[in-house]
Amino acid sequence: MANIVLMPSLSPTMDDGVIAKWLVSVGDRIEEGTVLCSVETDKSTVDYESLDEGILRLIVPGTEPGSTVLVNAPIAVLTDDADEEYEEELQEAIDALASSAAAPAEEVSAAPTPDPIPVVTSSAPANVAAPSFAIPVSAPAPTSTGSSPVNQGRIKATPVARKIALDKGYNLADIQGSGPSGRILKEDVESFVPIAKFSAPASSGRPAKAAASDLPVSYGSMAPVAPTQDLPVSGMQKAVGARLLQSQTQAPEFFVSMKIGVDKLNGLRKELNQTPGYKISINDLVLKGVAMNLRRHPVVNSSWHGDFIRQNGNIDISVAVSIPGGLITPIVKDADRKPLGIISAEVKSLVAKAKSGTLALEEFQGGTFTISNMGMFGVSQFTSIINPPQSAILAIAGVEEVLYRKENGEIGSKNQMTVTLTSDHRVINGADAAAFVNGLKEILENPACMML
Amino acid sequence: MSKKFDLVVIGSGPGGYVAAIKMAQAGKKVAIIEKKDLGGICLNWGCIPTKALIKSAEVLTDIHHAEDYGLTVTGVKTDYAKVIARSRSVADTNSKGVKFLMKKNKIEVIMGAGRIIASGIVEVENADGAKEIINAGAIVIATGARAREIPTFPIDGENFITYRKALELEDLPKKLLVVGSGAIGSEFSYVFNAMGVEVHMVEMMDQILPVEDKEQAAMVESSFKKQGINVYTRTTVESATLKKKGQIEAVIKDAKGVETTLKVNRVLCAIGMIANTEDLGLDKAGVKLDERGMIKVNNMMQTSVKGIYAIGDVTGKQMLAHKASFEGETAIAHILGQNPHGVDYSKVPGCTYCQPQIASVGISEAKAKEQGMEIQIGRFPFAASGKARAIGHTEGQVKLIFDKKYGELVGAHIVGYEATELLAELGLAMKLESTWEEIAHTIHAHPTLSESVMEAALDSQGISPHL
Repeated sequence: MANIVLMPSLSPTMDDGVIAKWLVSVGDRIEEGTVLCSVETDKSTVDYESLDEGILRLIVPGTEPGSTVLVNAPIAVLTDDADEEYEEELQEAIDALASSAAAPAEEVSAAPTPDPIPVVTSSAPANVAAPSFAIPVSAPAPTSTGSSPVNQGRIKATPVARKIALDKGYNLADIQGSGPSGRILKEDVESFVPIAKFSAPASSGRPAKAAASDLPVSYGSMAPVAPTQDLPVSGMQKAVGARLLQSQTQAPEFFVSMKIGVDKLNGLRKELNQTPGYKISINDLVLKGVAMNLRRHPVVNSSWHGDFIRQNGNIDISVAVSIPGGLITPIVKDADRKPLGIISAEVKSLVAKAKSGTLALEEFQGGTFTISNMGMFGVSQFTSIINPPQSAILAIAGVEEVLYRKENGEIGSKNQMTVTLTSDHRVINGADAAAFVNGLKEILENPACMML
Repeated sequence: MSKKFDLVVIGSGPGGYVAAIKMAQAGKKVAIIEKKDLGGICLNWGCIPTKALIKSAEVLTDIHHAEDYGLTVTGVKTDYAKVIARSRSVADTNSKGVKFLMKKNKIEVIMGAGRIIASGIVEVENADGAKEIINAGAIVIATGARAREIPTFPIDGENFITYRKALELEDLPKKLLVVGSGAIGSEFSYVFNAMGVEVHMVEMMDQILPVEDKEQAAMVESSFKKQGINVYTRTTVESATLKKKGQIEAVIKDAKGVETTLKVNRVLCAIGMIANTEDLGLDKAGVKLDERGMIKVNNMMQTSVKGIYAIGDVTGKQMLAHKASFEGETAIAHILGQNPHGVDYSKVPGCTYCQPQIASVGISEAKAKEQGMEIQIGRFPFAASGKARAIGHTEGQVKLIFDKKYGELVGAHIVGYEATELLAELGLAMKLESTWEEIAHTIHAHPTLSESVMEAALDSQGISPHL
């Protein structure tokens, strides 16, 4: 009897795993509990123990150490006797995988822990070399589009691949290598598409007040007003999700908030907008202020690259924009050196392109710092998740009117907003973050300095 | 019942026999069909016997230069029949080596001509005309190529010859016309000139060794002229008339249209190779050829018919033994479902073994410029190498071409003594996508010729300490 060993699902979110190492060789006698191989998942490296016994007949091609293998893909074959035929069962397992891969919608409700070793009974002797073995086995899992860092520990990459990745600001850990033992080649870096980045979990931005039609129609019957549904996950949602999870699980984050008065900023904005043809927004002013402030605090304008920290010379600010089905972060490049009018025009054009899905790759790839503004949604405070390999992101909440005691003891009112900096502690220390938000407060509360 | 194999290879050259062994190593049942000599052209009539001839020429040249090394040698005699005999014996030993490898890997050798009846069925016709049908899980065509001929002078095997006869004829002509200056033309020109033959080498293109970097080829050309070879570039052979046995009048025409008559005793035609695709049943089986008559394959070496692969010279591109072997490995990996990387034809090294040797991998300077690539070039002449001076071989240089932006090595070109051996590290560097830094920062032993490679990498940045 032949047992086809499949790639196990070692966690509910695991779509694929990387074979770190084979600990057995073809011809070995496998007992129940023998460790076959170690498998790297998005979370950890796990020893995979055999649930069956037999003689290891085949380590399926495409599962060499470093290979990414889909869950449920056959990885090895055990048989009772050393000369038993198994090709047919193996083919069945391959076909089964291929048909499930063809229907990705099922993934949503897929059981998280399938039996990792379906036992298939032997039948007619199969013919020689089935050239179709390999087709789906090592099907390139969409790792390069961002499901968790592909590489952990020592990253193998060719010198040219390293240089290109550094130049483009890619994190080698995100790139799937296609060379021997997963070595990252030039081709892999050149074809790598960093996923559209995220920042805050901006949903549809629904207005706070509910329309009359949103109210439950029938309260008394307790009948559900809407059926429970499992919605398919779009490619973008998957990619953004994976990216967010990577950031959240890898970067030791901390948050520093600051209340910033905006009355002067508002005044300046009104004054500026008296110039015909200009419509500067608070967001534009904040962007400019952040850029100026980053020049003064280069630590915050850095990126984490695993074995080094890169302090970026350019100040390229990613702006989170909510788009249907997800979000994207187009970049205002060299924002510290551009006058406000240019920044304002660029942001408008980038947002329009983002909404129409016409952003060019270089318009949303890269960036050295991100701002996410939810001021228009009237939130009082929020935090954002860092956009790797960047090290910090600034969350800008809505403007609120507050009462305060003036120096002469009278009660006055002023407008202020709360900004919250999320920092990666591997790069930025608490004092750096505090200095940054204080610097920003200084600039935005005395906004005339931005005109210099 | 007809015999059944997992793989049947047609042709046992360096493509075919390597493919057969790879498949056998995977535990599969393999047959290899060979019409004539195990090992194909490479072992029997190409790479190996020519290298044996060249060695004799080098030893003779060294003896002539004995005085340079403070030695006096007298009574030197050339027995060319023995030179040929040595070359044949080297080839035979190699062919026996292949026979041994076939046996060791339990590969069935079937002598005869293979013909594909359909995907999975091959007919073998032996020398007596007896036919046998064998079944094949997969078929690899590795039938190679042969010398191209031109109507100007039909090959007669005596007055007008190709490389094949040049490896057998035991007499040296007084004067020889070599048509074509590629690897074959240049190697034979070197050998015959060294053996005392008056050699006239004619090349249609504006440089000898047309596939090589122009600057490098010019170095070989100037050395050839110093050695006494008459080199004609941008020149064509208008006619070659046999006056009587061993007396040929050839008219050559240069770029300006000036015609010259050369009286020679033999003509060696070395104008390229054509694929051996005839009588293989390709048409019937549906295997398509490209416009140049080579078998069309993808980068996994699959032909237009499923289950039929083709490798080596019969598929064109660079007609080189090592390319054929690599294609053989690729085809087998694909048959075994191992998902190989395809063959990267931009990294196939090319070596020509005349003296000075010329070797290269990657693109030439002209090609880089044609592609609009921004490049940095590093050069190191062997005249500046202590080791080269010590051994008395200071001709030539290492020329390395790097992409400017990331410093990646994109072309490596060496002319000089042992250039073909020195090239290997650059092939590896290119495979590993190295930049000038990895080459420059690898400690190379002193004193070696290979230091020149490191120096050339440094020179690309203008920082070679020895220039």
